[in-house]
Amino acid sequence: MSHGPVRRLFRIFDRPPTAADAVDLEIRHHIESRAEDLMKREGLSADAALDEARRRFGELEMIRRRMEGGERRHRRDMRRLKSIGQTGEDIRFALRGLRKSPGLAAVVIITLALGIGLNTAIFSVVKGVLLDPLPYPEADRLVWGVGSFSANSQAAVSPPDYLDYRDQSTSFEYLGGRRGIGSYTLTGSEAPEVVRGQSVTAEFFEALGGVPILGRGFTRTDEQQVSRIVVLGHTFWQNRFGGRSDVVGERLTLDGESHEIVGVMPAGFQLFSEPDFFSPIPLHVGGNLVRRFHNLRLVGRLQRGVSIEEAQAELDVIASRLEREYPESNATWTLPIVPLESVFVGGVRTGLMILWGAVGMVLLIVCANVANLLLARGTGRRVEIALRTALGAGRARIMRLLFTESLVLALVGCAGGVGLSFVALRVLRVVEPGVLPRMDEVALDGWVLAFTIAISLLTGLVFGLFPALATSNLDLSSTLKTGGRGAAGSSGRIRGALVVAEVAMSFVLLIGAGLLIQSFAKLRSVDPGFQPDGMVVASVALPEARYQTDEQRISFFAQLRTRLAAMPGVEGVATSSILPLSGGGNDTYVGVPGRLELGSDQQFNSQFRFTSNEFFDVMRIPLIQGRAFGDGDRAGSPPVVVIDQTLATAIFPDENPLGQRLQIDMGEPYEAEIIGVVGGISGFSLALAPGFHLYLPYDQRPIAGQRVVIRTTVDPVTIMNGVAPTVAALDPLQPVSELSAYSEVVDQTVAQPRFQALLLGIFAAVALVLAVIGVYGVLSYLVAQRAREVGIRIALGARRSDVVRLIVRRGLGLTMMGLAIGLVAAFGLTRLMATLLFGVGATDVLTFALVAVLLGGTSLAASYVPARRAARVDPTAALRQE
Amino acid sequence: MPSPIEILPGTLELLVMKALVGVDSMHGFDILRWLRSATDEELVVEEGSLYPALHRMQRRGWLVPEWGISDRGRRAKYYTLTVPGHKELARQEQSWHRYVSIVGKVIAAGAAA
Repeated sequence: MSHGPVRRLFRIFDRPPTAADAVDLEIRHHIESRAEDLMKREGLSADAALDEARRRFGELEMIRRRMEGGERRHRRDMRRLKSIGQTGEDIRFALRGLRKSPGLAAVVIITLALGIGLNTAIFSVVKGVLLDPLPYPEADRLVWGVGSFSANSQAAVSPPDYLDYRDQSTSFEYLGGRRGIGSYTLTGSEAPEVVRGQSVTAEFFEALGGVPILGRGFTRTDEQQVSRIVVLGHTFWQNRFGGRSDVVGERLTLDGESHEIVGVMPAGFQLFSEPDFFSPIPLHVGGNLVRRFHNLRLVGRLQRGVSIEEAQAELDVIASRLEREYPESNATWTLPIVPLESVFVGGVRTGLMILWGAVGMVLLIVCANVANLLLARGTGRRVEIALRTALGAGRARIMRLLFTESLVLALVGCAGGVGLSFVALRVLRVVEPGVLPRMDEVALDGWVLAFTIAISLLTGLVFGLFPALATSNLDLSSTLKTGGRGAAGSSGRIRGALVVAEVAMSFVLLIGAGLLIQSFAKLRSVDPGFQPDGMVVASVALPEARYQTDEQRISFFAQLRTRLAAMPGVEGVATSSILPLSGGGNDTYVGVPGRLELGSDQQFNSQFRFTSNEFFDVMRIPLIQGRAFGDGDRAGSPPVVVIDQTLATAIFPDENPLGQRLQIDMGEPYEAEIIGVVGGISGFSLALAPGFHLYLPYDQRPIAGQRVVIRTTVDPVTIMNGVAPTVAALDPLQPVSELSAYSEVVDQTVAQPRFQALLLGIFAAVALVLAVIGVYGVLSYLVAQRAREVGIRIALGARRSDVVRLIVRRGLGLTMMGLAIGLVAAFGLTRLMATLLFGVGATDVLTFALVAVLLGGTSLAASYVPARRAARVDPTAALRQE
Repeated sequence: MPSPIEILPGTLELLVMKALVGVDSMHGFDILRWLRSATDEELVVEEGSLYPALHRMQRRGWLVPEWGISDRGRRAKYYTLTVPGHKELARQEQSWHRYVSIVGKVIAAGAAA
């Protein structure tokens, strides 16, 4: 029985037969052994011995069946064990390898965590904002409708038109309307408080599928007259009433009027943002009967089986009928509808997709870098791999080992990435200036984690592929002979290609970031026509119940201006109904009596404001012609108007506008004399054309709500602290809201481009750093590999500067190739972001040149460090080393 | 020499494992031969029970099989006793000794009566 060692050697050829063959083989072996034995011991002939051996073996078939069953079961078990054991062994091998080079493992894992974490964070935003269905039942049946006419496709719908659409159309299960959220003063038990209310029509709740959890919603009966009833939003109900279930029937004092609570909406019910309460719109009362007053936006729930096109066709028929019936108000007016979902994501889709693409590119660069690092290590491990191959490990097995290593790295990176994305998302929530809808719904949920794991595995495959291919394809004997120091060969080429790809992708990202940053800078440098820096703004909305007369309101604001102006550090105070670049606007039609009639096709659509006399002065809007409002422009004096240069040039291109009369649509035509022309301003956005603006003296149209602007000579914050006490001194029941520095309000209008520029800038910076590391790594490795060659050159008299040039040239070569490819790619890709750009073309030469110089310069620097190291090579040491 | 006796049911596994203790590994025919010589040919082990028993023990993890080349140059299946096999052998030996002593006591008591 001492044949063990010999047999061991042959086990290499151990190729196990099938179960049935194995049993046969074993039996045959036994019978032959027995026969030999019989021949030797009992002198039987070969045939007789075989017969006898068979006879003694017994019931062959029965035994075989009993053996085979056992054999099969055994094999099944072993197969399972083996594959588990092998995977376990692979993982142990991978971990052992990583422990041997902890520095490399750390770099790889941190880079991976960065790439995977950024991707996870951005994907969770993409998913929450773009991919998740809206939080309404059967949200695909919901449509959004805003009125449209020849001059404006984003207008609104007048209440009478809405009623006609609601009554005459059959495409909708429900068609509701809403106005914007407004501010109200809540008084009663506590200090006066500003609350947010939203007026909605009947069917608004039903259209969105919201069912009150307490009480009722609004009916058509509620729209017949001014109904002082409210339905509470869930959050307000929780905060103010502690979620009491007996709240229905209680009363709230809003703007001094007592309102009855008739219902409470469920948690999360809202459209765009949740108000404190909802109130019905008295559609059949007063100004709501005027067809020219467009102030509703509609949300409809399509009947099952009705397509949006069918519904649109029906609305178009109704629109043209209305146009025939009411030509003076409804000419060219239609009601286009779009899926509600598109309203949520419309403005941000492109930006988000570009960010997603950018982090995807960052991940690819990460992959390239990690692949490079592993390649460098793989080359160092050639001997180990070659030995394993020589000892019988197949190529598949080696690749499997290397892949396991990559996957282990990717999964550790994945864990780090999840942690990082958690942090990134929290940071994003803070940094995000409210430009992304539904940001509160964004979360790291199961789908996001599945995505993360999927990209991690994919990442592992991508960056593991190159090292596995390059390393498993070794020439065994030469590798073993040279001890693995041989030329890098194909792996060197792969590494070069990876660096080229990195540089190319970094170039694209830097271009994208550069264009966005430039757009933002251009946007920020647009002159808004007034000077928001050093100003404080606040909103004061007088409740009509307590300030019923014009005199009361005029007097309140006059006193307020005087008291605020008396504060130390205040240079001037003014009020206006709407402030430019503060997110709101009022527009109306303007005509010229006898020449340009209201209601005609040529009428002008202009923004209008009711302002105090000091407004232009305080805002630093230059007076170009005529005069500003004065004390003489009061109630009862001749109506006057100030227009801006843009409107003046448009209406009176060849005449002096001063002294001309303007007809303004204020529900009824209102005529005023033009007394002054001021500079044009940006109304809504720095990115849009300034538009037309006109100003009316507050004292002639004293409305209840005014914005206060305070020009300060000191830090605005100190003034802000004094505003509410000053108001309270005048009227302790009067709240102040929206108190902030004007520059911050203006900043909000450029928040989205800034946010995009910031994020893409960060991604591009990460990409740049990674690409530079890539270039540096490849060249360092090259220098280490060619130390001997460099040594010989130096020994033969090459100057050190020649050596530096040699290495740097190699680095620049790779960079240039990357730049060339990146240039072509950027030309194609930046076109996609044209809609995000302002004042700069998608192929802006300056940006392209600057980025090329930046990337070329940094990679030149990255090449120079290893080149200097090469030049310092000691020729004797380098030669002795081999 | 008395005629050989049939092996007692349940003891074959014990004997096979005993055969494998201390040797590298054996194929079925070797095990059979070893049993014959170790028992001075007084115990009959049938091939029909040996091979199914080997496979049963392999399945229970007491033996591991390996394919190799026999000293006669043929492909043969070798069995090695595993660690669980060694434990099982010790257990079975112990219970065999108890069995023998109990049966012995019973027989002795019967003789005394």
